Amino acid sequence: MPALLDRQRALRDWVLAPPEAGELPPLPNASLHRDNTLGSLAAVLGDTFPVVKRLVGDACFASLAQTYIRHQPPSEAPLLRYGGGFPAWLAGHAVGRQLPYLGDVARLEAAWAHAYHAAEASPVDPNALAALGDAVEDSVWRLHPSHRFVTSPWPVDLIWRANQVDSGDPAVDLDAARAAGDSHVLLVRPAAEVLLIRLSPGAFALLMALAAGLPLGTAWDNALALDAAFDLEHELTGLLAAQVFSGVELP
Amino acid sequence: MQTTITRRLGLGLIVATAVAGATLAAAPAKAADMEKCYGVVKAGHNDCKTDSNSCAGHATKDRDPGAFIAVPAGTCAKISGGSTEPAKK
Repeated sequence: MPALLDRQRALRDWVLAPPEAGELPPLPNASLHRDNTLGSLAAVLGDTFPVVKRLVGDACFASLAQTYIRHQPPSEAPLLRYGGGFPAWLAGHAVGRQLPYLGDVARLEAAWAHAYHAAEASPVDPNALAALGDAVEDSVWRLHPSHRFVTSPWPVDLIWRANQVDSGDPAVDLDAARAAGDSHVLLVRPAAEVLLIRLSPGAFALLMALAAGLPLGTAWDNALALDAAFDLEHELTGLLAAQVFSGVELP
Repeated sequence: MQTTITRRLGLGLIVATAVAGATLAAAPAKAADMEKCYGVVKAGHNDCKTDSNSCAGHATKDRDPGAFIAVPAGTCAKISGGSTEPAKK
């Protein structure tokens, strides 16, 4: 008589086997368990990637999800992080090649899920910042721990916004949006809501340098090197208002 | 060299002005306004799905979950332009 573990492994392998393998179920009514397992994991992916689901439609997403689940089943019991490999997998799938922005939209949604579940942090104290004076040049700025950057040749933030439930389904013209160059999106959750902030190339360079631990003076140089007209005061005003930073330190 | 020095002397003022502008620009959510507590998950983002054990009925009869082909039929139709056709070789 097989041990319980052997039976569990046999059932798992059968549930995850490609449907065309046509193996006989190891237990009576095992197909009920298989359909519920695949169905509930597909629902998890649908909750994490609602815009991808909306873009391709429910039936297509169910098919994609179940193929992905068989390819990369969960590796841990909590499912909050499940689907981390979905964007890269999707980009290589036939549907992802047919809709070439789809993989990047999925990356944006994965970043959104990360930001949503990231730890809390208090915003930087504005008075302490102003009190630094010109020493601020050497200061190192900490970005909020929930932050993620997504860069894409496609206007992924426009596509994301157009596919929110209350957006009214506006059309998105990819050619017009791509003429403006790459999209740099910052995702951050300083309070209850995840913010999607479209960054100018200069602001992106500034934040990438700050996120890498470089001092403000160097980060500013990076931004100016990319965009000679970069307006630090204007950009910092917006970023501080959005509470993107959680700390500033002098080395 | 001269421009560098000028610029450096101005940085403190730029940051101070930005701080003042940011404070005026928005009354951002303070900690007291936070609705989300760490560990509270969005509906649907549950830690563990239990449907498998409760027979919640995603499927009550045998079917082949891989039998339908993935054909995009959602709002992607509203996104136009770009090279949405696979490249011909």
